Amino acid sequence: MARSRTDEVLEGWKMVAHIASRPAVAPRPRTRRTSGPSGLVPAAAVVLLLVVALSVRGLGQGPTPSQPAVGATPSMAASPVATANPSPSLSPTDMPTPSVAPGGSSTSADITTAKAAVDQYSADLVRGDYAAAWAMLGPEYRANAAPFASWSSERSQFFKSVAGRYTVVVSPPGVAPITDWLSSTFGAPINLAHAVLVEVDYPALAGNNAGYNLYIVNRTASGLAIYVVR
Amino acid sequence: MKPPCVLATAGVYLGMSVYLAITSDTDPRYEQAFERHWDDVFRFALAWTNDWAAAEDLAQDAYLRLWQHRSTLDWDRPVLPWLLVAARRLATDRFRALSRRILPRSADPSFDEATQVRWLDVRSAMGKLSALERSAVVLTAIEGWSYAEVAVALGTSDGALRAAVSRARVKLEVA
Repeated sequence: MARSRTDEVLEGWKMVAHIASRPAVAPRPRTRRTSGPSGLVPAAAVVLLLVVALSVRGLGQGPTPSQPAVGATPSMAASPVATANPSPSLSPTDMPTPSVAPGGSSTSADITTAKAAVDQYSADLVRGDYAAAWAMLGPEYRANAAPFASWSSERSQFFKSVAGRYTVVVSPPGVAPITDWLSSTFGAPINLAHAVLVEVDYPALAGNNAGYNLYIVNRTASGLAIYVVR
Repeated sequence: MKPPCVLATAGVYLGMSVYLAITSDTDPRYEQAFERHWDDVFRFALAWTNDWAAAEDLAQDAYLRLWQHRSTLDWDRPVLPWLLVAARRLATDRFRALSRRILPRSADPSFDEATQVRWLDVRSAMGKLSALERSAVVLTAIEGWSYAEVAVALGTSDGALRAAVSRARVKLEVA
């Protein structure tokens, strides 16, 4: 008896879904980049700062902050605040290095060209020119993603839902910094001095988890390369 | 000891106490729930979202919710339904905002080419279904859950669930 298409799909789902492996460690709030309990860390730091600062002032009896002798104390107290304040939701171990801003340390020219590249890429997909869009993707992505035929088939289905409408946003707010998305670039040498994180929103899919894509646009010696990171 | 030193010591102690309280992250009930049910939660999320990375995010956040509610949760009752309902609510209510705040996974699933091709085909076919239809057919036909269990997880009635499964099968046949 021939197997039905329904059975084929369901068996395929089962086969693939059961490949998933449980993370090594159970999720913990302190690994999140959100407020909540981790927000108490900066609060604790502020308490510590206030108390230590108060103690340094000695209730009016000790040396003033302007005196050289206490130079070390304020800096020790200020340290946790400096760590926590730029982004209270970040745990100290998650903090990006200062040289890498959330959207990279890219210039306005980088941003303009990255936006134009993603706009072109999206327009190609909307138009159905999958070969052109595929060519804009980074070689590492193309080598590790699905074969072109499968990729274009999947994209064509997706872009039917998009209904031709999209919005390109550079360095989108509320998104993890670009350094956090590097693991999705298949080891490509991303030039963080010029790389730009770009989001494309699809209004037709608003509220759907598939309603947006994130890309890293990387500048190399041979030009721009796009990496789909979400 | 001078007052400033006392205050400084108290401040350091207070800060450390708060920090340690925050970072104290052992709870055997939570660990057990993670080991027993992660796979179920992930697959439920995968069925609902039809997106691997989104499912991982969703499963992760359902567990974060569990962690946050661990002190008020009735641990004598099965925790899996709680997790699934949490995952579904997160998915339907505010998944987009949520997903923005969660870290990307450390690596993409290591599918070989054949698996990747099959997954794309399955995902495309499953994409023709609504989240309810997809979850209904996956949980009853693949995961082997009872209709009563699935109805609770999906927040629907038995009749609506059966109708969703039926519609899903019809749609998949021509997907």
